[in-house]
Amino acid sequence: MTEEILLVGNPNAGKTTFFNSLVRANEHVGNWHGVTVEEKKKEFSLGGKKYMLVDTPGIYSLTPLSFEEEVSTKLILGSNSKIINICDLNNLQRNLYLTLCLIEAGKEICVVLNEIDRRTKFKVSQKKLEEILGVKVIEVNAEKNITEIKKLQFFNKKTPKYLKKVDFSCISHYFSENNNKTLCLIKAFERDRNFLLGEGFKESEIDEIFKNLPSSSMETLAKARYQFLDEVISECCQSADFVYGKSKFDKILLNKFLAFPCFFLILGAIFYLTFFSLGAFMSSALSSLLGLITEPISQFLISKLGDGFWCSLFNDALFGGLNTVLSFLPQVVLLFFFLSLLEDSGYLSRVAFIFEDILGKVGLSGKSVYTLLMGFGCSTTAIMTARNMDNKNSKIKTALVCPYMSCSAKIPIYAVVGGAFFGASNIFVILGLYLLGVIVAITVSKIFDMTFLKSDNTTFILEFPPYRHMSLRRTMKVLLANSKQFLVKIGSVMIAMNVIVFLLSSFSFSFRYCANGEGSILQSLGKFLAPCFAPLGFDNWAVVSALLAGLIAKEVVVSSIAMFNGIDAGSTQLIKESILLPTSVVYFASYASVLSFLVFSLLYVPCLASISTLLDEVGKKWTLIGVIVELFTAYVVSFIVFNIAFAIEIYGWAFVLILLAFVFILLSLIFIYRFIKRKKCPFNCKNCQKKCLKK
Amino acid sequence: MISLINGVVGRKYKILSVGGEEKVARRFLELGIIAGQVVTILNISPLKKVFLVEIRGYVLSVRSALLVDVAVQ
Repeated sequence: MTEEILLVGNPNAGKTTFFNSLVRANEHVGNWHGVTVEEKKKEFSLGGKKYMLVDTPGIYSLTPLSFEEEVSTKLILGSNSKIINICDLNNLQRNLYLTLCLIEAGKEICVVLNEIDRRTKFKVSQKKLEEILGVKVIEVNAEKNITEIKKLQFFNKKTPKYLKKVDFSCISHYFSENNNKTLCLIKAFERDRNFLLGEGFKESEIDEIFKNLPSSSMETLAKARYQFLDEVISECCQSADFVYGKSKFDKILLNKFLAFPCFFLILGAIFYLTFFSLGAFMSSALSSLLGLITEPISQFLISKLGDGFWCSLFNDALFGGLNTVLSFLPQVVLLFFFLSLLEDSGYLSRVAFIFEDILGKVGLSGKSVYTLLMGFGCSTTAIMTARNMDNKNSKIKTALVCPYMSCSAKIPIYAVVGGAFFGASNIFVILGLYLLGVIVAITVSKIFDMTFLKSDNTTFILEFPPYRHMSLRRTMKVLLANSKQFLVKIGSVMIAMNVIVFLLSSFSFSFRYCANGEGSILQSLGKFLAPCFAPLGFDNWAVVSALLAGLIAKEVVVSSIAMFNGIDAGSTQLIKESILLPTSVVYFASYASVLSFLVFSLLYVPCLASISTLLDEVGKKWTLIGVIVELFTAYVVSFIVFNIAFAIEIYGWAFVLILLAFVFILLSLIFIYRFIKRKKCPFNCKNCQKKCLKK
Repeated sequence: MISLINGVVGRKYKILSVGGEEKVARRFLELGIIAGQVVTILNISPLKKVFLVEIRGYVLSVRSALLVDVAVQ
């Protein structure tokens, strides 16, 4: 078996960047804490010998707090592997704290100082550092220049002298003289119960050991280490007077009043570029390019096979699917370009900071903001960006509620169907729909948070990354990796689903080919399901079929309506008029049913592209749950909207206002009741503010 | 002596003691938040849920609930 070498270091020290350059891998990296969440292995050769390099999640010490940290700690303490300890030069002192822990544990290590974006003022004397620590120290730029790596050597010569200052006598008689004794003593001082359990001590024994410890044992040890590190730094480094992660920009970008406007300005620009100007232009260019290629093929097919099933299969299903996939591509590329720009520059961590308060309340994390707002453009691409979330539960929640943000493909539905009924005041209807989407997203996320996707906020202690320039090479890598994934994994599913829906809409149950969708499975399904929609005010089979077809892409809803009404989909004016005619196939009886239909199209299952993305990002189980929840909310909310609107139509505004007043009074009564019944702060802390922050 | 969560943005404080839940206190110590150290509050999020503090030459963002038991002067 090849020998393993562990890559260990603080979060955001550049372990994965180093890993990528060393073994030519392409693992995801980012300018923040905790991008790597599991171990990753790859072979590499050094000096003619083969090794297995293991990338580990970042840790601060050998006492784990979270699951990822446990992975690393187990790898380190559970084997005799050699260790490459990556230290960020800009924050050397705290990075060396971990180095000390490793040396204390008797590991053979080599310290690698990562000088990525080093500040010029800061100089470290490698020789002196080697002398004091008793381990090999080398300096590399993890991203570009790793030639120094040839000097890699692993040894550990010194038992740290500062440990002599710590008085272990109170518990030393509990541990027998073996080579692990120092480590056991240290771990006992750190009150690391799990470690001692692993060493074969019983719970009762550990309790007794802990009883004999001085109450400040943890502090004594940490202080000893940091005092030593203070000396190390003052001896080996030329002083640098800057604070890592602090920046002038933050005065503006994190300013109480300017933070939000700045954020929305930046986001607005990204949104505009991705979904409208640049992205839309690239999409249409790509799609006409594809048309140039596929046009001759389909012409050829028509001439050979005639205008029948096979021709439609190629034209509508395959080429149509390919067209959809490709039209998404520029958006994916742009969205990820901006995301990696924000991510690597460190701004996203600031965004997380400003939004943590508000989104934390509904169980999302501050980073969800980017994904959710991009959901207004296109859920498919937005869901992909959810993967940068540090907390697994928040990631799932964000991805699942993202489709509630009304995507741009739904605009034609609002414009045509809403426009036909509401005319000029349609703009308020559309605004209301957008707002409703946000409210539903927040509510659903809150419900998830209260039930089975509780967010774990107990360990929210994060390092704040500095602003950084992003290298062009890395940008290209990120873009390539994401586009490839989108095309291969998601694109293939999209095309397959497209073909399936095509087959459904062009075949009847007896496998007879139906040219215009007349009598097809889709239509039969629509007819079958239509009664279910009676409580929502539209039990018209054609509307239901249109919604079913909308599963492919929301753009299809309007064109299906046009098809059922026998109108060319190109003219919105004609479609609008046809919906208003009582004789048409697709016809809405009242304003209430139109509203209900619009709400349903806003909230129901997102398009197949989004679903395949969801599958890829959160897995089968959560995708299924997401789809069910979406159907459920769509049904319930539409039902409520329909009935309220219906009541307004029949009984007039006064009735509804009275109803609303009742609800308001009821709510305030509940609020007053809770206010009276509220408990005093159970924690009894001295510094309780008006609201107990400890909650 | 006050709790760090009652601190003011931009002021420097000297840490007197680090208390609270064991695992949180341990993490604070590992990060260099030790009695005698000087911290500066750089920023507080709008609803006072998250604090940005500067310590030992770097910036840390911490949920304020965890800082309740960090006593400063």
